Amino acid sequence: MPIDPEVRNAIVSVVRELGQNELVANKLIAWLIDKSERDLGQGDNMQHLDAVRTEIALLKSE
Amino acid sequence: MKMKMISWESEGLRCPDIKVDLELGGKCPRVFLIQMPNGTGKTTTLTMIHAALTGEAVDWDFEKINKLRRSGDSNQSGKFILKLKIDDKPLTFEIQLDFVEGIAKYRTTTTGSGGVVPNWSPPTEIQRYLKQQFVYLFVFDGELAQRLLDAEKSEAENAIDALCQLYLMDEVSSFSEWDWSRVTKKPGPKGQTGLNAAKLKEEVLDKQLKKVRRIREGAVAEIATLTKKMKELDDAIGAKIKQIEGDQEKHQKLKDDERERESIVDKDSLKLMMEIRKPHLLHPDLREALRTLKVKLDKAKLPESSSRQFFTELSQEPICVCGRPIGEHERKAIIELAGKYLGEDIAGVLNALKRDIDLHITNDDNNSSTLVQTLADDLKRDVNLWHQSRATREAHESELLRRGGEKVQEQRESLLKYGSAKADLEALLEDEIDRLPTLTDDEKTQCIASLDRQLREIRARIAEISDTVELRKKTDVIKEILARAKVVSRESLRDVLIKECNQRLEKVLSRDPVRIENISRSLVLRNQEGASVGQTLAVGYTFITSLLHRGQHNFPLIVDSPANPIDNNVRREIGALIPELCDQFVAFTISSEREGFVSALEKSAHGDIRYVTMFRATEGTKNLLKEMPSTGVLKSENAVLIEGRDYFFKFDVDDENEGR
Repeated sequence: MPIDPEVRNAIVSVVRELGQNELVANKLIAWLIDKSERDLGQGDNMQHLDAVRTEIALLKSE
Repeated sequence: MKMKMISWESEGLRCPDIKVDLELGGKCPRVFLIQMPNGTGKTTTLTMIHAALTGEAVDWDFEKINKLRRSGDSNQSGKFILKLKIDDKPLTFEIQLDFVEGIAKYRTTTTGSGGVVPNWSPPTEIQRYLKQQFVYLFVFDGELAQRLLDAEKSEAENAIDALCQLYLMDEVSSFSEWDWSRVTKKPGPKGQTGLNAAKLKEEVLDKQLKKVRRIREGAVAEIATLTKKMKELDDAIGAKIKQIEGDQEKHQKLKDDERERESIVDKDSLKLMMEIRKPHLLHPDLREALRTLKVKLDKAKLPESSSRQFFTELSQEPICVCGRPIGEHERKAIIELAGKYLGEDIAGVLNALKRDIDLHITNDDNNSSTLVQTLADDLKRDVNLWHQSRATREAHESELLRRGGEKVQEQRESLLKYGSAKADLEALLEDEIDRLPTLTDDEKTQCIASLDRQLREIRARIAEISDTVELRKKTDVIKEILARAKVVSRESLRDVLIKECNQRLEKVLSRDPVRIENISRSLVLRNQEGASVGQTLAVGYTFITSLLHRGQHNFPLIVDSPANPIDNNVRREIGALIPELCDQFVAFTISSEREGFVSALEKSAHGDIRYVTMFRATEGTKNLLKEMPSTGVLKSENAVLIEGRDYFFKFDVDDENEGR
């Protein structure tokens, strides 16, 4: 089941504003969609979290 | 998730003992209308459906449970069974009411691993949709529209968050925080003691922040409640004063005088604030310090001597100011290092500062240094005059009220009490909860900004001690993305919904000017004051059905007396709208609602509609029992259920009165 297009657009635009890779948005959206479709266990959430963290780039100032 | 209501069955309750099947031949119609005369138990049925869905009956008290037993009956228990399908899988809730003990017990039946469970226990993935505040959105009563418009409540905002699943972002955010917390619990190579202490402080701060946020939420809601109560009391007192014999003209004049004095104080404050913002007027020391700054800037030949432009131009010269030749190596070095000196923007600011000091301080002949003091004196005098005029008006009003009797004096006392409580809450927000942080704040503070800052700092320290700095930073990035995305998506959803709803309202309320102006915590209407019950209900329908339609899940819309307070034109529009916006509409109606509403529903549902009429089998309905159709009749000991469109339309108001 898809999440609301406005939620999707908001995540994409905030990720862009923060100078993060588009993949961060994609992975977060995939996590939200999975959560909206089924009851995720700790392991499932962990996999999604790792996938998002892998894509996050830390800027020097951070 | 797709939820369908399949059937309900009741026994020993105020509503008739009967089973109502919505499914026919394995399919639920898009529209199911059950016509029940007043007094047949519509409200009880709705209450039981609501309780079955939410599990709330375990919290009911003895009195509430016993009110659900039919008046005059002495049965010791009652039962209600609600059958649903969630994504085509059956789910059944059964409520057993014990009238002797005054308690409610549940049984839940699922086809999954749970089987039959002796309590309210739906599958975990749907529990979030069965919370009371969520169920109220699709088991709709006439009061929902009022709640959506009530500024004291956050029903509209909650509905958007729930149906558009904004809460998922909070859950993801919490999980990433939880995981960081889990990782940092492991002993690291550096000082475990320091880590433990920092973790403890983080826990305390987190707890305090959550507590203060709850206090803030409560205070905001309480202020809204008090404001509403004060307005009601003020209106009531105003109306009463008009009826009291006395010098009304004088009272009005005193009120006007007070208002005028207040507006003078506003103007004085504004003037003073404008002047206070000029530092040279605020204090002679600041004026002198600025004068000194200008002298020092001139002495240092700033910004001219240190501007980037100077070095850029110098690099083009063959000879340096020191007399040495400038070769390619020197030229490159000068250009590279020119960036270290003042850019045009900073030089511009310094020049403007020097110019302003000259204009306002050095060459000031107007002795404007006393201006702030003069304005402050004016404000003080006008505040005193305002307070005097208020005291005069209050004294006169008290005299009028004294003549108005005890009740109006009590109202006045309540008004003052509410005003004082409201002022206390506003002060709590302004002086503590919403103020800027200070360096002396500790973890017990109620300042949210300070607690936020302390929490960020302690988390950074924990990250450092536990070698999880990178993980902490990534957690912060995830949380920031989700927090900002939630705000952005809520804002855009509001805009989209206002537009969608108003487009529908153009049709539904084509003759009325009621439109949604804004959605904050609640719906804000243009011309809200003048909106009728029918109009607000139409707005409520439009909002909820638009949301249900937009939401990614599919819920039945179950409504009590869907068209009762609405006039015929609006009924037609709403009747045409509902089947387009939800997959299952179940309405408990009375015969007077048929006109306008049902024909429009029928047309819009393209025939996918079932009509059922139910009435009690009593002495008063003997005539009805004689004229029942030959087919489609289901009888129980105390009720009759008749299927079919013809009977539904034939059943008239007189018959209803007999149904009581």
